[in-house]
Amino acid sequence: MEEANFVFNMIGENWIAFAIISLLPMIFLLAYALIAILGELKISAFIQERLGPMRTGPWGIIQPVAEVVKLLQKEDITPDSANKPLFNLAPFIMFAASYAGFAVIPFSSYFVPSGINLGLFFLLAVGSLGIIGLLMGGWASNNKYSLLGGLRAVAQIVSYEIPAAMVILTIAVMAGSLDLQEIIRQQSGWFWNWFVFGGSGGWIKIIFLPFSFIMCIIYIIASLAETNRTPFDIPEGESELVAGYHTEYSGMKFAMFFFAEYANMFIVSAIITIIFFGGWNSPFGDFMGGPIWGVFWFVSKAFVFVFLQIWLRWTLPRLRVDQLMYVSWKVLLPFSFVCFLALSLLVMLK
Amino acid sequence: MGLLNRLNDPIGLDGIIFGTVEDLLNWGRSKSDWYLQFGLACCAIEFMAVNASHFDMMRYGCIPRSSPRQADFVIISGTVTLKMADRLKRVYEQMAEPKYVIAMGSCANSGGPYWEHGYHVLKGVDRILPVDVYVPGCPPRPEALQEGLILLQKKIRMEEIFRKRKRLAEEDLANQMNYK
Amino acid sequence: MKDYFKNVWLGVWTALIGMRITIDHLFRKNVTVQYPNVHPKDKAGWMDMPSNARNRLYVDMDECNGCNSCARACPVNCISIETVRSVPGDAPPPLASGGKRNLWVSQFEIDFTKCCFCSLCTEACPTGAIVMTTEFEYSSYNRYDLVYNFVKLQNSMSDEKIAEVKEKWAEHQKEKKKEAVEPK
Repeated sequence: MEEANFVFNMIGENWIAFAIISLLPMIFLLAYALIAILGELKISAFIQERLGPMRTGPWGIIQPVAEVVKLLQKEDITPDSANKPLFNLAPFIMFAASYAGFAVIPFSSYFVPSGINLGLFFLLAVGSLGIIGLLMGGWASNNKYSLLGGLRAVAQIVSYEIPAAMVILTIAVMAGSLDLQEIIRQQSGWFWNWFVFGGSGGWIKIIFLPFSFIMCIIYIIASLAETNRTPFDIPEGESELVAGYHTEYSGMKFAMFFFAEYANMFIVSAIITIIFFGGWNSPFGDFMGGPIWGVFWFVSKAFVFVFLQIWLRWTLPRLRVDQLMYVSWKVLLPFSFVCFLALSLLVMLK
Repeated sequence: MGLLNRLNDPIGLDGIIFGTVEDLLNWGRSKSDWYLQFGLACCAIEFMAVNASHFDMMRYGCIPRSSPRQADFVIISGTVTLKMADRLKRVYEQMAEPKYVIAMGSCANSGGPYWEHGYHVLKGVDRILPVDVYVPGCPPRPEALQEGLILLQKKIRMEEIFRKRKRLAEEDLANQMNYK
Repeated sequence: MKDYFKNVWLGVWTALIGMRITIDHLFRKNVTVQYPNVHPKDKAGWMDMPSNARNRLYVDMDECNGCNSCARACPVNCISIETVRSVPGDAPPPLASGGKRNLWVSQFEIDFTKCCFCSLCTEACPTGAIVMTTEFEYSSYNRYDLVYNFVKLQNSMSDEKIAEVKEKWAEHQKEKKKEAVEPK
């Protein structure tokens, strides 16, 4: 899908174009991280009827800048008994894994960094690569809290990969493709063509609406667990493990973990947007359609799900480990099997 | 110390380049103070009140961190017993530089009610840690702690980063001259 | 089986109820009182300071007769008072409220790092010189700035005056001793 990339169209297929394409998501990510950190602080404050940061710029809007300036200056501690190469490598692996996911995210019909036709599969594979960095950091810190956090994170993410994979399998069946651009194109038109409403065509899909809704909810829950967000933040549960796998990290290395967590939040929100909510498609047919509005629609839909994650974080308490496993293996997995069968039937009937 | 005064000497340590960079760095550290959760006694109750909605410590950019590695300052809120003093010192040593300490309440300031006969209490936390701000009160009002926080931020804003190095080098030189 | 579905439904439904509550609070008016801008002494809504709030102590040196009651009442011994007795004919100025005074108060120190703000000293004071105020903003960078010597702060006695009265009293004592040794 090289022709569907506006940078290649503009300056041809040379190394400058490749450099620009690989850096564009980074610029977006930096801007997004600042907004998301401020959003997290402000939304948490407003939910608790507080004000949040107020004294850094007007209404505290440059608070994330202060945080970055501060984290840059902090001492970078490597514990004496830590495994130094792994300890220093872990945050970078974690961040690289989440940034690799951006390679296939289609921001618009004319911009996708790498239009491979196995996009959905690639996202699934790369999305679970981050836990290597996480376990590495937890183990190399030589700290019992870090190790417990790392192990919990692995157990949790491996368990929740399965329901998430079932959902993605269902989407593959419904769309007949793993190419993200193709999946999005199949949901074009009005919003009832989105996969959350059963995909395009056929009144028969109304019977199957509950199943696609449940599928969407299953993926949202599994994605929360994969990004270690509350209520599934047992890997960094502050009341049990001091700060989980990043207990021993300070300064910029901790900032990398933080950054990777926010990048992951965006990636899973983008996946939800792509596979259920029509990606860069306008919800109202041709109204505000086209590639440039496509970026707007995609980013705003993804931000809705980032907001949902923040909202859930300040609503629900943390689950116990056994409850976590119960939810994954005994609830999400059977439900996703049933929904998979039902939606496959829908594909046959259409 | 305005911007115009610095124009006279643009590249000196007080000049527009280093001076402004120093201001920026100090600004970042003063506006983003992450504190270590270290509640010890009844002052911790007021400390919690400061965190809660009515006083809202996050207005100052203070985010709670449970790991000492990520914290910028620690609020010692309450009686430091001799048993806890060991732990407190260890936690403080694990914090990453630059780090600050606020002693909150009479017990942390000087042992408070236990200063005379408390066989088990550390008589002032400044015996083991370098305290930056002392907040008096038993316990202090939430606003008093907030005032201490503002004082700490002022102190961080006034810090020397580049000039300190220069000043120390000059003092070193002067000392050497004295020895001769 | 029925329990299982009920459980799952309850899990989802209660989460939704919680989300409804938090989204409701998201759009409510916040309750934060922004301290340095809104001061509790300004009677700012619910958190204005009551007039009997117990905060920093204040000693009116014009009222203090140096009786040491407050230091004796203090449970933590944070008040230290030094007095010099006056020689006959050189009594200190009377109290502002009109009472007689026989002692020069040369030092009145309250260590606010030790004070527990119990207000027992104000009840023991016979002249009402020591009172609790509503002033609470006196954090400092130095612990010794929190030791308040009210004699110095209010300048009720200068150093020279203290030395003078001490000398006078010493002389008086000497004379007394002489008298005791050599009776008339």
